[in-house]
Amino acid sequence: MVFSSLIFIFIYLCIVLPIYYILPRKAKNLFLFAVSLVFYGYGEPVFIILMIISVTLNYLFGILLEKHRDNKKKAKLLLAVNVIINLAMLGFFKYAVFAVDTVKLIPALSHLNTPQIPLPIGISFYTFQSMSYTIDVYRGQCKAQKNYVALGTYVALFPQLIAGPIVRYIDVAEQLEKRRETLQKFTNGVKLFMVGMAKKVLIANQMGELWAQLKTAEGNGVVGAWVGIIAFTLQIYFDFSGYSDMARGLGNMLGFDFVKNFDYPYISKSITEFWRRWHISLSTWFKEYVYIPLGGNRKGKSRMVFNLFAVWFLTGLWHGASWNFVLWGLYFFVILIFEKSVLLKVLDKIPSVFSHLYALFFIVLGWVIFDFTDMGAMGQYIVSMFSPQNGLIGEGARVLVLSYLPLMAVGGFACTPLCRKAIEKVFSVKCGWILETAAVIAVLALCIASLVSSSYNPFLYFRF
Amino acid sequence: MKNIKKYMPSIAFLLAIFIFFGAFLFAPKKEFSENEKRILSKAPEISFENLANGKLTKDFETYVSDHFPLRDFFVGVQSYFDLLCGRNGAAEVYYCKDGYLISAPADVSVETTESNVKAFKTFAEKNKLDATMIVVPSAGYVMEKVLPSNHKNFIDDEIINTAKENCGNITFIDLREDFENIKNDVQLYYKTDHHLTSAGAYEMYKAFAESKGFSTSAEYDIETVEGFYGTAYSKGGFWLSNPDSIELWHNKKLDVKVEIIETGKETVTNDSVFFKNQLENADKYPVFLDGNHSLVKITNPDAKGGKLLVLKDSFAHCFTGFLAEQYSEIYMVDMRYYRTSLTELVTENSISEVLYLYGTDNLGTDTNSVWLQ
Repeated sequence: MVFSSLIFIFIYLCIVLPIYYILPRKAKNLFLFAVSLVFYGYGEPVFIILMIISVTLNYLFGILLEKHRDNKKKAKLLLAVNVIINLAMLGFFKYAVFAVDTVKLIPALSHLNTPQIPLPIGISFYTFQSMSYTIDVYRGQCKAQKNYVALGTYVALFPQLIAGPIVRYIDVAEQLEKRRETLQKFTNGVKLFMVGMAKKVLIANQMGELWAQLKTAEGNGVVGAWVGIIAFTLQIYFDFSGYSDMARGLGNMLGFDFVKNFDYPYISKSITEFWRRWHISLSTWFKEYVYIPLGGNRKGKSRMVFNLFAVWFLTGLWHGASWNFVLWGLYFFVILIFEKSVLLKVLDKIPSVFSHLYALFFIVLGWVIFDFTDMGAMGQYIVSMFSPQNGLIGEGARVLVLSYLPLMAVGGFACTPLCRKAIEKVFSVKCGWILETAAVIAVLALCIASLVSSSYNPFLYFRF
Repeated sequence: MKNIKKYMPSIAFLLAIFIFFGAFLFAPKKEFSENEKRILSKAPEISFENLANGKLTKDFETYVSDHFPLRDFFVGVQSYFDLLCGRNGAAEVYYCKDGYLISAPADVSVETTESNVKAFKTFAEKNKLDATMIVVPSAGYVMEKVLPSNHKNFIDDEIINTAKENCGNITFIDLREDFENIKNDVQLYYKTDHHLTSAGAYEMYKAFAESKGFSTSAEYDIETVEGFYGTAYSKGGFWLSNPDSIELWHNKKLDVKVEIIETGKETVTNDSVFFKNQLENADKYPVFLDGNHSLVKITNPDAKGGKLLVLKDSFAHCFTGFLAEQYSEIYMVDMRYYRTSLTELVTENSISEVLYLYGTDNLGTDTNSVWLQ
C-alpha cells in the first residue's frame, strides 16, 4: 500500500487510528505490528512470511549477541553470521537477477537463464533497520529487545516501512515501550502528513509526467533536455522527501518521533554539503556501519580513499540493482574526493552564487546517471544537454515546458527555506488557524481530485 | 477555546476522512457513469485465490476509485486546478475562449493516413465504384483563434494533403477553404463536442452536392433542443461550462426508413433519421442515426439517385440525413465495427457509388481499413 492512495487515507487510516487510540498501552504495539503486516502484504501477501522470518531471525540473534557479548570471538562470529543472513536475503531478492545478468556478459556463461524473482517492497529499508539493531546490540550500544512484538513493531512499522527514513533502533528503542500520544503531537503529525502529501501529489506527480514525456521524446533541444532533467530533479526530491514527511507525520500521529531525512538539499554549496542534507538517514547508516568500522579517516589517506570508495560503491548499489546506480555512486565518490582535496577551499572563497551553481550542476547531472538504466540512452541524453544539433527547444517540448513552467517555479521555490518561512509567516497571523485548517482541507481535496481523476476514463466510442 | 483552535487542522482532517469513509461505506453505488459512458466496476470477489495473487487488492482499488463519494465533483476540481496551474489541456481538452472546449490533437500519423487512403482507393477500383472522399478538419484546426495561446500543433493540413495526394481517381472534396470563409458567420462545430453542428454538416452537404451536381433546394424546419453536453465536456471535466443546443433540421418532404443492422441482434427500424429517445441523455449526438453502428441502411423510395455506400466515422451521422434526400438506398458502414465482406455487400445490393467520410483524427489513427475487402 502507498500513502498517497484513497485506500490508505480513507479506509486504512480510518480503521487503524481509532482502534489504536482505544486500545490499552500494552496492546498498542501488537496492534501496530499486525496492521503493519497488513499494510505490507496488501499487494503481495506472501512477503509477510519473509518479513516474519526476518524479524524472528534478528530477534533471536539480538538475544544471542547480548548473551555472548563478553566472548569477543563468539560475538563476532554471531554478528558475521547475522550480517551475512541479512545481506543474503537482500542479495537474493534484490540483486540475484542483476548478478546473473552481469555474469551473462561473459560469453562462456551467456546461456544462463535469468531467474524471475519479484522484489519485495521496502526490503532495502527494513534490512538496514534490522542490521542497525543487531550491530548496535553487538557493540553494546543498546540492550537486546526481549519483547518479540516490540522488535516486530520496530522493523515493520508501516509509516517508515517502504521508503524510510531508515530509523536506527537506538533512536526509537525507548519510544517502542514508552511513548506519549498527545493531541499536540497528533496535530503536528497531521500537518507534516499533509505537507508530504502536497509535495507528492501537487508537485512530484506533475513533474514526473513532464519528465516521462521529455525523457522519451526526440528533438527536445538543449533547453528541452535541461528542463527535462530539472523536472526529474524536482520530482525525485518532492517524491522522496514528501514520502519521508508523510512517514514522520504518521509516526507523530502514533506517538513516535522519527529523524528528519531531508534538509533542503538543493540549497547546498558543495556536493559534500548535499550529502549531509539528502537522505540523511541513509548517509548516517553508511557512515555508522560501513565507513567508521572500515577505519574512516583514521588509518591514513589511501585507506580513507578506499573507505570512501567502498561507501559510495555500496550507496550507489543500494539505490538499485543496475550498473548505472553504481556509476552514480562512484560519480559522487570522485567529486567528493576532489572536493576534500582542493575544491572545498576554493568554494569557500568564491561568491556563493557560483558555489550554488556548481553544486546544482553536478547534482542535476547526477540525476541523469541515476534515471537511465540504459547506458546508451544515458549517453545520448547527456549529449542532447550540451549539443546544439536540435536547436534550443523543439516545438513539442516548447508547448509542454510552457504548460509546466508555473508549477516548476513553485517547485523551485519550495526547495528553499524561504518557502517554509513564507508559509509560517502566513499562518502566524491572528486567524492563522483558519488558514491552516483550510490548507489541510484543500490539500486533501486536491489529493482526492488527483487520485480520482487518474481513474476517470471516458469511453467515447460507446456503442450499446 | 484557544486550544481547540490550535488543534483544528487535525480535527478537520479526522472529520474529513471519517465522513468520506462513512459515505463510501453507506452511500448507494452507481452502476453506470453517464459522463464516462462506461459501467463502473463491481465489488471485488473475495476468495483466498484472489487474495494470494494480488487480484483482490487491485480490484478493490479500482472499486474504491470508481465509487468514491463525489467522484465527478473531484474530477472537476482537478480540471480547474490544472487550469489554474497553467496546464490547460492536461486532460487532452483545451478550455477555450467563447465557451469552447476543444479536444487536443489526436496522435495522428501521415503513414496511417496514407495506408488508409490507399486501401480506400484499391477498394473503389476493385469494385468499380464512383468514389468521393471528404476529410473533415478537426475543431481545433478550424477554430484555432479560440484556443489558448500555448497548445499542441494541429497537423490537419498534413493529413488532408496526404489524403488528397494519395487518393488517385477518387473525387476529393476539400472543405478547408469553405470552412475558413464561413466560420465567422456559421457555428460549424459544437462548443462541448468535437462534431460538426447541423449547420456545419449542411455546409459539407452543399459542397458534396455541388461536386455531384445535385440541387439543394429543400426547405427545413429547424427544431432546437437544449442541454447537449458532448464528448469534450465529458473528457475535460470542466463541469461549469454551458451546454450546447442541438439542431434537428427536418425536411418535411423526406420520407425514409432507417434500419440499424447489427450481427446477432434484431434489426431496429425507424421512420426518421432522428432517434429522439437519444435526446434524453446528456450526450445527445446519437440522435443522428442512433450513434455508432456497424451498418445502417437508409431507404428513400422517392429519391432520384441510386445506391451509395458511406464508409465513415461519426462525423457522417448528422450529414447522412441530408444525403438521404438524394439516394434511394444508403448503406452507412463503420469499419471500426464491421467485420464481414464489404465487396459482398456492394455486389449483392448493386451499389455503384461510395463516399469515404472521415475526420482527420480517425483517418490519421484508425487502422481498421485493413478489414476492407
